[in-house]
Amino acid sequence: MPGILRRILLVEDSSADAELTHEALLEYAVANGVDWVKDGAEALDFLFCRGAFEGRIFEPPAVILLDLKLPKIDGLEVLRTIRTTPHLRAIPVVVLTSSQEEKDLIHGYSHGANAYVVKPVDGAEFIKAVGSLGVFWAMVNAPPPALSPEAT
Amino acid sequence: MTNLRPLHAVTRAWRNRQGLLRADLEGQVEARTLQLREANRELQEFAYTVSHDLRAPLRHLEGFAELLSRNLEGKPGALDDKGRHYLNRITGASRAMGSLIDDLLTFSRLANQEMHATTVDLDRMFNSLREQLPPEFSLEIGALGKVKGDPSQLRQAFLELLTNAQKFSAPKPAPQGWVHQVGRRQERTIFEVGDNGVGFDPAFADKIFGVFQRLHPREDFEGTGIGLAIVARVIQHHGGDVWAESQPGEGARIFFTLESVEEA
Repeated sequence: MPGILRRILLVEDSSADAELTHEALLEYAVANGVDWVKDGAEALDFLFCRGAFEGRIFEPPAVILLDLKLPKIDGLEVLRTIRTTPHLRAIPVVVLTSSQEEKDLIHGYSHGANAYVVKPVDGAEFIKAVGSLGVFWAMVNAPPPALSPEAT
Repeated sequence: MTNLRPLHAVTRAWRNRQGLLRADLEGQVEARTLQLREANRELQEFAYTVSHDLRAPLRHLEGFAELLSRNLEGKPGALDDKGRHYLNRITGASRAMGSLIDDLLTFSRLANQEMHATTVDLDRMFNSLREQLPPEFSLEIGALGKVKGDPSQLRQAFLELLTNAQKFSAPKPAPQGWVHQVGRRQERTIFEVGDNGVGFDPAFADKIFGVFQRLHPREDFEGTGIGLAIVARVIQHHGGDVWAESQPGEGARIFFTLESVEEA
């Protein structure tokens, strides 16, 4: 879909983090547009166009920014489901989390994360980290060809 | 004397009793070990929660303070010197809180860490740590030999010691530090890490190994005051002792004991 910017899916339970992420992407002129869901269950409903998102026409996001510690279904479980679903499998997923724990890093990568970013506490650093990863994944990176939900 | 039992029966009864006692003791040890393991696991979970959940509000504080300052920058006159000063105070405070959390986490991880003891070449370790210090700090490293210990824990402790030596001698015209073997105590070797820095009042010599204990204002010397607590914890893990000597203005000397490994 050349010329059409794919949207970014942000899976983040904290409204403060969501707003900061949004602002950071704006600072870096990432114009893709952001869909924001607040927990793992909502993320999967969004991706599978079901529940509250029934009837949504599926479009693969340019990138999924995924927090790990989420209500209902946690981030790793969401990641596992994405990686085992044929039409979602190739979508880039960037884990965006507070956790620097080694076990989370290992799990993140072994479940198929394309990148793992620890949210910097410093405000300016946060804007830089999130803004530049948005530029890379949403604008520089060539996304995988879109597959329809019927693909196997 | 009429109740006298044959000797072999007495011995058998005694043996049985010993056996039961031992089994009982082993059972108790096992139960305690289980309890300890459980407590450790809970502590680790707690540390994880602390690192994840306490960091988030700090990030929000700093993030929105940053956005506020960017937002006001484009509007001439909106933020005067005083306003900028308040904003700096906010970010400074949340940054300080962030370092406290990080350091507390490092410290609690250390408490739970298993020891992986091997032979550690102290000469090599101190020489490589020297690279992490600014070149204007002159560090003299004596012949230190090898000790038994966990390399990653010792490395962390020594880095804290050297960083302290460098930090507290930095105000001097010729900042100097040294590491030497200074004697033996029982089976252990005594080492000294010293500096020619600002020193401290010997009345506080024990206090400096406490968590978040500082003897100087944060404005004068950066840091949360966890460094020497880490050092003490690591050395104690290794079964050693640690103590300090100093006079104000005359530098500080930190001593610790470790088990030397004689060259084959």
